[in-house]
Amino acid sequence: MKLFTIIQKNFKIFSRSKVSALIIFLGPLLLVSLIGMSFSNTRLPGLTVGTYSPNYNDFTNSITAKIEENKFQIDKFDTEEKCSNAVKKGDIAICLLFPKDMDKTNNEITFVVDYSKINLVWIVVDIFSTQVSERSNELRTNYVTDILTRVVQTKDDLSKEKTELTSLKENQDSVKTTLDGASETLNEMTVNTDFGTDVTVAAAKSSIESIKSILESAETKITSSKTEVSNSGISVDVMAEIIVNLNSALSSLSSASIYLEGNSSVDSLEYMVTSLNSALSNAKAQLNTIKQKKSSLSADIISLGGSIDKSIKSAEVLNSAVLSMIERISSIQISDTEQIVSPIRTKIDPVSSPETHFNYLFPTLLVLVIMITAILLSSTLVMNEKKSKSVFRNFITPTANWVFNLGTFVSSFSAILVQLVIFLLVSMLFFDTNILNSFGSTFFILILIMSVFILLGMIIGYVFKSEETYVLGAITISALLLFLSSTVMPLESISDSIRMFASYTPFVVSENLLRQAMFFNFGIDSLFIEMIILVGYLLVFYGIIVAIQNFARMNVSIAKRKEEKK
Amino acid sequence: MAVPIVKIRGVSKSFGDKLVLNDVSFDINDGEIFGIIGASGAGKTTLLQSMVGFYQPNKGEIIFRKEGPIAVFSTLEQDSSLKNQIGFSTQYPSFYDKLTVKENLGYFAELYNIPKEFILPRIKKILELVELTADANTLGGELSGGMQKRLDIACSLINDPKIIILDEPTADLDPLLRTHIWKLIKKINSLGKTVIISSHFLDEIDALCSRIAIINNKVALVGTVQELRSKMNYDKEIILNLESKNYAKVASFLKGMPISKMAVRGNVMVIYAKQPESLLKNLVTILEKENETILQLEVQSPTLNDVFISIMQEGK
Repeated sequence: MKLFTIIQKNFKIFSRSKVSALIIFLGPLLLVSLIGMSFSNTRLPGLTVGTYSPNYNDFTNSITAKIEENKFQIDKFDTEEKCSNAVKKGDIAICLLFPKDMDKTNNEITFVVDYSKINLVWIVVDIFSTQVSERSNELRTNYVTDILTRVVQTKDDLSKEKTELTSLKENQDSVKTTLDGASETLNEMTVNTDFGTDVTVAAAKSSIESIKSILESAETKITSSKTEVSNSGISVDVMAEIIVNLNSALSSLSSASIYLEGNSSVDSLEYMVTSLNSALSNAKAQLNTIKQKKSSLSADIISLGGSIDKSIKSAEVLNSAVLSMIERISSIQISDTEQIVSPIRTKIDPVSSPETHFNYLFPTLLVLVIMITAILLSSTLVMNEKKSKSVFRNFITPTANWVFNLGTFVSSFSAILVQLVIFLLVSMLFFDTNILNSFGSTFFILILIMSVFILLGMIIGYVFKSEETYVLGAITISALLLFLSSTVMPLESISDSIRMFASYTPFVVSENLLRQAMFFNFGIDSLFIEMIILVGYLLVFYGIIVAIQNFARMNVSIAKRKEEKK
Repeated sequence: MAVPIVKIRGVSKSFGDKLVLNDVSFDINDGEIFGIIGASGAGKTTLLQSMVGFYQPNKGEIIFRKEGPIAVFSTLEQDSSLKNQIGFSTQYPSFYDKLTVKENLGYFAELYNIPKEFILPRIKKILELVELTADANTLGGELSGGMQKRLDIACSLINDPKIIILDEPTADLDPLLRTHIWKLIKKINSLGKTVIISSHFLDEIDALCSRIAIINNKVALVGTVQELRSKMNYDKEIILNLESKNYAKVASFLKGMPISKMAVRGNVMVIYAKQPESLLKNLVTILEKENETILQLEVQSPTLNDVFISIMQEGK
């Protein structure tokens, strides 16, 4: 079979070139080992940080300690200028300039970075901003904890004082009730100074005579009664007792009569009436004074009641305010310091979970290895065939052009497949790369990627005339594809028009495909569009190869004419 | 009667504005060794490479008689299997340096669709023919110049072609190796193969070819060497070497005699004449009378080289 013969011939020629064979088989081993060992970590241990402070203190030392905790090396510089120069020379990745006497209020740290190191600067700024902000957070947490403690303490104090306030209000209520009672009592108290007409002596004498008459009548009746009792048939004991009582009453009446007889003189009576009238006048005057004082006291009680009302209202307002304060303090929902310091917390949830830089880089690395080896190998095969003495003899044999093209393609494909297997095995065995999860789709994608880059390499081999220019061309195109991807700089950082173009380059499409298949286990159906793009590239590239071969025939003619002109 | 195996009919080929072949027509007969000679740029290689389809003529056609009992002629475009009937050895060896002699032959045998079972016997036979059996496992690039040429011829024979085209087969070879190649060509021809040779070594063509075509962008002459000489009706050369070297006196004697021209070439005088025999008699008589001692006197017929130069000059 012709195809097999051509492939066999390619491999024989290739294997007889020891350097090429070494490159093919040892190249990927070397590449994967070097890159694997270089990137088998998740940190950037090579970063050195420069610091400068006119006077290091606990505050600055706490920040540098934080950086050292993360295994970054710290170089302390004597001057600000030396520190900045070290960044310019690339001795350190970043210089942190602390202000003099740095403390809570004087707290501005300057980062000196080299933006020309475009691929590193953002990582460095990010890392050290994080380091410093971690320390800043710690301080902020302390401050907020202090404030919170005081607030809670105030709330507790207010809660305690609130009972005193309640007691005050109750006392005031009690006072108010007492006052109201006093006021009522006072109001109920009637002070009447109107004693009517003064008592006259004649009237008094008449009254005494009447009383004397009544007393005499009563003595008569008692004496009569004694007689009747003695005549009655009642027991002696009872009779005696009644008579004793009647005698006692008679005696009392006699005394009263005597008294009335002895004091019934007009003078004595007048004197008594006059004295009584005088006493009455005094009493009247005193009662008037009492009446005035009562009115004044009543007004004072009303005024005091008003004041107490106001005081009660104030106490109520105060109580309500205290309650409100307690309620507001209690209603503070975020009492956790962390929540106040970082009200919005971010959590990074990586969509992929590789463990080392190597694993992150793996799809890119894989496409890069395939691209470079495929382009170089296939262009070398084409160039070797073109420059081979046998090109004419191959042409005159009854063998179609596509058979030779297919031979070159399959030879390159087989060699790269060997490389790829070595590469994948080494990666899996030594760097824990897992491609078995999505092996089916990954393998299919790898075949597509290899095919695209092999055809691209074949185009380069056909387009360029000399061995020097084709290598240059292969390297240039590989470099161009590399630069127009996110490997060196993010695609997002380049202009819109070029980004649009770059996002469809074989390298970018291949890298995306491989990443999606390897990290997210996307199936072939999910990656259909990207795969169609690669198939499109395959068809276009093959079309270009055929066109170039036809054009090359014309070119031979032109070269022949030039040769003959010479 | 000679049977043509290749018919070249009105072939013209130009590269850009330069016309390299202009209406070239001739036949090549079966079993002959046919030579094509011409100056550099005359279109020899273009014609030979057009014969195997490497170039497409702008005009005209090259038709081949297909092997078989009935003479059927067709072009390579019409019948690509005709490629199996043609072997081609280029001026510079055309094989893989990194493959051994045997591997090269095996590779090209596969490309010519030779059945597997015939490949090894054929390789053996060809290696014996080109005397490379001992070097069967040597890499092509490690062979000497002459061996490389033989390997290249071997490669052109691998498909057992009826026609072998050899483009400058002895260019860059020393005289000894050239002789070896000549022998090989004769051996190949003796196997019944038609050999077409282009060469700028006219002695080689003279020695090997039964017929010759002289081309100078167009076919100037086609025929055997004898036919070419006779067709050209050249003067013969009388070489005269006198002891006295007094050729001026001889020139005065020759005035009025039937000569084309005369010239002194080094120590000798060359006299060109169509009928030198009668002239010789008169010249000898005169020189004897003048007591001139003749050191050399001979008549030379024109060589192929003379014919070629003459045609090239006419072309100019």
